[in-house]
Amino acid sequence: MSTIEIKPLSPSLSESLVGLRRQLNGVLLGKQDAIELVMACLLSQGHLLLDDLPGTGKTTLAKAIASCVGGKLARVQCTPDLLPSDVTGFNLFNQKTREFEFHPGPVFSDVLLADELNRTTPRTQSALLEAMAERQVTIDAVPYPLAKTFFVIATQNPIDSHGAYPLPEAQLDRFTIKLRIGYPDRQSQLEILEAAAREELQSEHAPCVLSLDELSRLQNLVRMITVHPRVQGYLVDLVEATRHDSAVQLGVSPRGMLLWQRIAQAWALLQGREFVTPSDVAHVARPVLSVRLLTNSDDVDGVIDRLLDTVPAPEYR
Amino acid sequence: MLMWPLDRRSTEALVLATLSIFAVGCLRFPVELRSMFLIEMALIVGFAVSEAAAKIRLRWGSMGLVATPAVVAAVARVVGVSIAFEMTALTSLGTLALAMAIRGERTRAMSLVSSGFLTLFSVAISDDQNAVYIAIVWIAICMWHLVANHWERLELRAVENVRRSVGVRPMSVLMAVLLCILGGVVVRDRFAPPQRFEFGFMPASGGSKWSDPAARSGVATGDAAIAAKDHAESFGAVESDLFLESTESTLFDMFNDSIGEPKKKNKSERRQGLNNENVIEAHQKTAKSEKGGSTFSTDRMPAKKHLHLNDSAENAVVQWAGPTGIRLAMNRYDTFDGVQWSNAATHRNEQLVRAEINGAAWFFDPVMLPAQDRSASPVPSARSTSVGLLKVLRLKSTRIPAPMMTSGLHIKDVDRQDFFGIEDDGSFYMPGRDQVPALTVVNIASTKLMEDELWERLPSSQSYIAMDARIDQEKRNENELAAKSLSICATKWTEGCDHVYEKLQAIVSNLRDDFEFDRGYAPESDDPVAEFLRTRRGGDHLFATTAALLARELGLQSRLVTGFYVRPAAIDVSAGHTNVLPQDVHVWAEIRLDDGRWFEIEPTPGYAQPNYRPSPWLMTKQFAAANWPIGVGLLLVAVALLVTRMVWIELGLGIFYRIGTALCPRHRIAIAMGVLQTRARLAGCPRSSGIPQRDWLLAMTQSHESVREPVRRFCDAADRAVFAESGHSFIDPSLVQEMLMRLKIKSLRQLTVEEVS
Repeated sequence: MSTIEIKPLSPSLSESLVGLRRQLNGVLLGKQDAIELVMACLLSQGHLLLDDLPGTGKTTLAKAIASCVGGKLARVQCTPDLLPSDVTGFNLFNQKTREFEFHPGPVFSDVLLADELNRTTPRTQSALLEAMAERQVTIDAVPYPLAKTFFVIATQNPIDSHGAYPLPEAQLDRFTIKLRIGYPDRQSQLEILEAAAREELQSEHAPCVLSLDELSRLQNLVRMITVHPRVQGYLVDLVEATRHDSAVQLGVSPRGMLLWQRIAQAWALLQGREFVTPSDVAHVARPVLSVRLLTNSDDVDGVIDRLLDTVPAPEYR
Repeated sequence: MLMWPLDRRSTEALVLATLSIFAVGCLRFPVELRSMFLIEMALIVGFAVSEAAAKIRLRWGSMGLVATPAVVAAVARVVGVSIAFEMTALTSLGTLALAMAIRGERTRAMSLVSSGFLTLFSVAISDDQNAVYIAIVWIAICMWHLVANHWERLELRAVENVRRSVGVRPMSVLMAVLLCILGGVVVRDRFAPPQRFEFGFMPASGGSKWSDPAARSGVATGDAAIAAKDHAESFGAVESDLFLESTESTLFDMFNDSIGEPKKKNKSERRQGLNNENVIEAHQKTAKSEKGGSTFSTDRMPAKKHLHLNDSAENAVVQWAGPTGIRLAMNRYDTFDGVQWSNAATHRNEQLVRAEINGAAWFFDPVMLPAQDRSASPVPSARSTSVGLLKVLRLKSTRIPAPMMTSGLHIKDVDRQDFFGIEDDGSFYMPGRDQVPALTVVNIASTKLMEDELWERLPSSQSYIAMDARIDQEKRNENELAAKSLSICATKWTEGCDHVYEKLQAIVSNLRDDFEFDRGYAPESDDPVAEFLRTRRGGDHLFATTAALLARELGLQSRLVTGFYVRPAAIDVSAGHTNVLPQDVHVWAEIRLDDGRWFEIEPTPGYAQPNYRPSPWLMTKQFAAANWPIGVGLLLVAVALLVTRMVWIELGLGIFYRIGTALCPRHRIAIAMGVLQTRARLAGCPRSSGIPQRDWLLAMTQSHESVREPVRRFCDAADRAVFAESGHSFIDPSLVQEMLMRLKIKSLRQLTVEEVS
């Protein structure tokens, strides 16, 4: 194991990644940074929470990812009357065979798009817990494994929260990152308009550029990216800082820390490196922390900035 | 590639051996016959060169090399020049080291050992302070050699895998030299002045069996001492005064011993020729120690050479616990007749002021007490007073040796007014007894004098004219020559001085600088002062007399003081006191202040000047007055430095980077980042510790593509060097250089300004 030389990417894998990047950028104009993070999240086998205003391209992005990866896309439009079994699947008694038949729900897919997740009841939200963390669902005491590359993209709408059910902390902690896509800049908006006029905007049904097999190999590669002990120390320092900060009610859990390291590894891979640097850790810190820090004030970003500023990063030596 | 390290090793061993011979040469060159020494060295060099150059290697070259010093010594002895045996032995050891360094791999280590021993030994027995540099150089080269040796052996054994690390060598040599210097600083001034071995260790003469004509000096004094010490019956034949000298002597005797006896007056007019048998020679000799201390003659014979075997603490006259480098006064004389000093003052006072301080009875000289509150609180303030302890051991006098401006005395458990008094000449004494009892411990309080008072309190002009009349005019006329040259000196030396204290200082420094202190010098004429001024050499009595007379030329009231000098070197550190020996007798002068107190001046070179501390205000004034052009210059330089500071800082950082990377190439990245962050701090864009260095650098340079590229390359390489799994932490120096070149303070400032705008 220790002798394996990680050449970060073989040419074909690297080409696939470039293709994925190009495809996604083509779908969502002017959002390179967000797309990079989404890709890192995908490679780290994490789940993604998109938290943004309506019409900023959340659903579009999710659909584009699903089609690029070439897996099966399932979509759940979360409403208050959605039931857990609508998500996980259920056993139905077959009159002919006189047996129960399992009808898999949308979680039995490669990419699950849970739209407006905060609109459904906590009961249904919780149904996703096991699926996201353990990649399996248990129905009538029978466990059913999910796909290896199972990837949840949930979206939620921060405004118009009337009648919405905010996600419980346990649920939030299972997402790796939370992203705000935000409005595109002026130039990108002009391009969007122009493309729409010519109906050239790449549809969500983009061609598959990254097979599930390749994705799985990439995810394995991510796990082998080196994290120097000093960088790990930095990570632990940051995590401890979140737990001891007076403005933070709930800090980062050990699971959160593991997810953080993993996505930092994925980020390093995307930069073409076989090792993680402190700046990788710092770079993914905001999306990682914003999903799981419970702060006293509304200004989560401010708290995160302060934390990052106070914890000394490892220096060259 | 494999051979050159071995070559260098021999070179260094050669250099070390040569250095050790040089160290011995330093000992030999000044004392030996130059030509003989040079011939020997030339022979050694010749043999060494022929040995080292394989082409002309002689058959018995190395034998010849080693034997040269012995052969030369033998030849020299035959010729009649003598070379000390131990020097020949040392030089032979040096040539042996040289031969072994040349000869081969296996003997080279031995060569190091012998040259090291030789160097350290030569340096240790050398009297010259600078000799220690030879040792330091030797240690540095040896360190260099050993480290190189170590690494090269490693390299030869593991050719593939050892990374060449230049830093270890300069680092270890630097450490060794620093350690030497540090050690030197730590032990400096901790040693008493060098003393001779009491037993015959190295110097070759004066043993009990034989002596060597080439010896520089020896244990004891050679044949005479041997005779006296080994054979009791040889006592008479040796005719040594050694055993006649009394152990308990008066100050007068001590002066006779150390400075020389006063010349006998020409008594011819009282004499009458008698027959031989009527003259009893012994009478003159026994009269020696009965002459009183009421006069002090400046016309003296040269001091006799003494045969004291040791000058240990047992001989101490008094012991003094207090500041050293001061003078303890016993007698004072204010009248000078051209040859003799005598005392005319009548300060006698047996009614000292009694005061109790912390339960102890002190007796104070009323003159020394502060004038305004003499009645209210008769105690001088503790701040301006220092108290010393004097223990009288072998002093046959009622007078108490006391430092200048002694204000009071205290002897434990003695509370009797009539035990203490002031003599006519102003010295403290114990009336009504033969001598101060031996082993008496006297606490002596003396007033500390600030330099400020000297500037304010010295009588400014001609106020001493009246006193001057006291000098016997007739006697003075006799010494017309002395008076004339004195007034010439006074005018010449004090030229350009305004204040009378300045003039006094000029006189003292002239005497100290231009005159030679020589107690053994015998004046030839009857007018010692005039002769002293002419020949510029003499004993301390002449220095003091001249200074006192010159002070009178300035219109100051002066007097001659005799007593002891507390030698700083004689301090017994463990006991905390200084032993004052009979040979520490000394003569100096005192000058009167306008309030009746006297302060001392030290015109004799070799004796510490009294320390009059200036107050900070006076010090500042003096400094400013003396150094204002330098001050203005420094200010200008400082302003110039301030204006151009960035250039210097940049330069300093550059040098720091060079030296740092040479010393520890492993930390090149850290040093470069240190330099860069210092620059950034100065440019006003410091890195907050939370931002990873890579992000900080890239963010700073994001608007400048030309800078950003090298910076990114550096960051990539640095990240790889530091955080990658292999963690070898080596980086291409050119990347670092390029980044450092692009990000000078100036360019960083530009970047910051652009970012803000």
